[in-house]
Amino acid sequence: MARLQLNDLCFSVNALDILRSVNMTVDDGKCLALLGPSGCGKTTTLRCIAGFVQPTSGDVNFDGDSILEQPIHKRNVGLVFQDYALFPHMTVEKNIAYGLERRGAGAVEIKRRVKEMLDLVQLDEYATRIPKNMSGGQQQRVALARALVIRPNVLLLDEPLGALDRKLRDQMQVEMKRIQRETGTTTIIVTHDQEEALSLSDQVAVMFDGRIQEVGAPAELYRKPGSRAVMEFLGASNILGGTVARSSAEASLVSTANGIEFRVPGKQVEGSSVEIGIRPEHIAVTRTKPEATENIFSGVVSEVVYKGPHAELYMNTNDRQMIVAHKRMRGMQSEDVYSIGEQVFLSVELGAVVVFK
Amino acid sequence: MSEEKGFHRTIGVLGWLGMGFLVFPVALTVLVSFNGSYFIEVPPTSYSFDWYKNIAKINKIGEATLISLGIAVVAASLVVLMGLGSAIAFVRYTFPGKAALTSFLLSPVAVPIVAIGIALVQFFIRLDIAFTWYSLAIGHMVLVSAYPVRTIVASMTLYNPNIEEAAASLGANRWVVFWTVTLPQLKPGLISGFLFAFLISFDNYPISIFLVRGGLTTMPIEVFNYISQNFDPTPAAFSTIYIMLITVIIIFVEKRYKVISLSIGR
Amino acid sequence: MPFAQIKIGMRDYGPAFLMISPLLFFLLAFYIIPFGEMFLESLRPWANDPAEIQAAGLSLFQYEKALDSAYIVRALIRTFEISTISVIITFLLSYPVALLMLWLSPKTCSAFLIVIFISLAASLIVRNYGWLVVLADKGPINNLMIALSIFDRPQRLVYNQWAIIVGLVHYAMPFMILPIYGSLIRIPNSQWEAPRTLGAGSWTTLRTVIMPLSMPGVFGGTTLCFAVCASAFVTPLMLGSPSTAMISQVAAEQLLIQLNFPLGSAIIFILTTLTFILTLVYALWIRKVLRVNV
Repeated sequence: MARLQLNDLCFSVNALDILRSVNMTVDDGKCLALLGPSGCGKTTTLRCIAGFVQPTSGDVNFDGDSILEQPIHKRNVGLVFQDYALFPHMTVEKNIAYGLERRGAGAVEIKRRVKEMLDLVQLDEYATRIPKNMSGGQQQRVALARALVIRPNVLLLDEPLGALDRKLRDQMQVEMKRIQRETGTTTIIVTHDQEEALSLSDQVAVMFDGRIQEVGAPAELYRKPGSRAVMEFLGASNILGGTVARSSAEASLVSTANGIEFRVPGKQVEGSSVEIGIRPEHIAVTRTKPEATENIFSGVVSEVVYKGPHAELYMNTNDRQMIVAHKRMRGMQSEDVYSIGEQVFLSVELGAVVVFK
Repeated sequence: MSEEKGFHRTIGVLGWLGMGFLVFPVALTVLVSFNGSYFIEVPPTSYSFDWYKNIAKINKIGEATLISLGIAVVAASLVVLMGLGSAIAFVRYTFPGKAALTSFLLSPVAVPIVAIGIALVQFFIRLDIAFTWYSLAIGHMVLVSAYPVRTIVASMTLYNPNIEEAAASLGANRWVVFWTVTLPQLKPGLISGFLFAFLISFDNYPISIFLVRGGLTTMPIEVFNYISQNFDPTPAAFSTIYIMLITVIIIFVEKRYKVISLSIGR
Repeated sequence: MPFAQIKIGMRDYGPAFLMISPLLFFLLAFYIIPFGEMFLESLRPWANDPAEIQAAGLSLFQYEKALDSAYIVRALIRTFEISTISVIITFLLSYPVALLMLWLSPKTCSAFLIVIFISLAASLIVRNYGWLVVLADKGPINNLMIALSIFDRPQRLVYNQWAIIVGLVHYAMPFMILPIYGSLIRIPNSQWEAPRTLGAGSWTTLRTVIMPLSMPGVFGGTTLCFAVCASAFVTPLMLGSPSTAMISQVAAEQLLIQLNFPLGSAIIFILTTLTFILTLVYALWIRKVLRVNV
């Protein structure tokens, strides 16, 4: 376990800048999710840490010691590949033992540590199986065990849940958090799936265009993102443009295009243009006008999409802008079911609104 | 990093050496074909085109080449036709004993080539058709029959079979589907199958040597005879022309139909 | 071609049978039957009088005679020796070529493939003649050896066992390179990278992961090469001498020169059977010793 630091990491190839000064720190034992769309450079960053890519400038270090000069097989980095890359011609045992054999460990120690790992990932009876006959989730656990048994400085996971179906994904989320916590390994997860990032990590680093845009705890980043791009990437959101009409120390009034006025937290420059972001689940939908809440406005339901635990309501407001709200379906009450064309009232609490300049 | 670079460098050197080994004799043959002297010498002390003119002096070379050409074309065409049906049956249909039949139909490649010649000459003598033009063609056909089957099967695995069903659902009957959808997809397989069969038949010595006599002879036999009786570089001139021709043909076919990938598949 | 019918009724074998029948009957008539007859022929004794041959019935006379003949047995042993040596050398030369092809740019790799194909397609006579040129008395090898003072006189490099081996290796290389390359190219990149992250250097990665994974291609290549070398005819004929005769030549000699059809046939069957047995043993060995599935 070590503290990983990336300093001003840059990488270009064929006049294309893939990494533009990436800075990142992961404390010992913590798990960071590197989240971003395809092509943002997150996989390249991972491969820089592992050693498959040599950055054009900048540094990667463990506990302050640069590892850039070290060849891949000396870096002691555990990497779980997207396709798991289990050795098909070896049993689960031999797969896990591989890294230990390379380090010259004795047969007895190898046996002991392999068994330890199998227990950790709960695959004890699978020791002599071959990967071909195992399910995706099992294979992934073997891949994890193989990477962890060598007690790596850093564990790198490349899109870990991508290949699994819904149900398996939910299970593995819990499993992986447990394993990471039990071994206390510094971990980096690379993913384009915001749900994966939010659920698995202690910190999320959002990456666009070769640069880290924002770092924060999952909840923080989700509720109070620093920019529109990050907010939109982390989940569904409603973005409205407007100008600041009035402002005081705790709150401001923003006037959107066709007259809806939003009360937003914090002081803003009067007269400036801003954008406001509201998460769909923070919009309350009622048939009657609610009392004692902020930011009430009306709209007409234009589309209803049933999603199981909630329904998505698409509504037209005064300025014909589409607003999406999530209506939680509590029980089987018919009053929770809205139909197209209904007049509804929408309200948003002050604290749920985010302002971007 | 340097350990990896050392690895790549070593393998690179060995690989290029291996390739060089493959190319070396042919490159040298081309060089020697321009030898001024009577005996083969590298490096040459003088140059001349004489040996190219001398090709015509190889005994019966014109007649033999025509016979080889004719046999190769006939043999290759017929085995492609026969192989087409078999290939389609293997890929699209199930039937009892398929695995065994497949091995059987592909086995002529694994059998010693002389064996085919020896077996057939005895057989043809018994049938009293030995040493005829068409018996020679039959012998060649047995030898090359497996190649079109393999290449057509390979090209069948390269396209999505659903397109045939899509065509059928759009109103095409069986024959139309075959002609307009299946056959175009099989072009690489048909062409490369024909090419392989042709080249292997054209060049064949071990079968021809048993099945010819008297007036019937083939190009490889006459060239071989010349080589065993003469020491001048005329065969080098002949080889150079031969290599040039097939290089052009192979490059053309590869660029147009991408046939090489068919041999690596599976 | 009733594709719809395949899915509904497996009973309808008619169309499939119809499509296979041309090739099937052709091979039956001109492949199976002739071989069958040749086998029968090999069971006949040989005598000057045809009537006596007919009357004698079937026996293993020829096989015994073949295995008794020191000349034939020596040729058999020589054939398998030459073949084994050739296959090993071919493998050692071909594996790096296949590996190199993995790393080349698509254009260069294409060029390699074309060269390999031309090698396959080029006339065997042309190729062996090329070796006659290379190994000639005034050819490049001799001249080089003299220039390096290794020889003081041109040596006779052709018409012996090693010339045959060189020719066979050259002949067999495409048959070895292509299957190995086919196997290697199927190995995902992550199989090269994962061992490195676990501490394996490049050579260890090759030895412990890549080579085992390429075994199907290696197995296919080596068995094909062995079969091809063991039954070689033109190459030993052109590059060897009567004292280096390989088994196909011995069989041909019996047939064409001695006109001893039964003995020639018997020799061919011995060769085929032995090659088959050896291939089987080889496959079992690979399976057991190397614990690999082929």
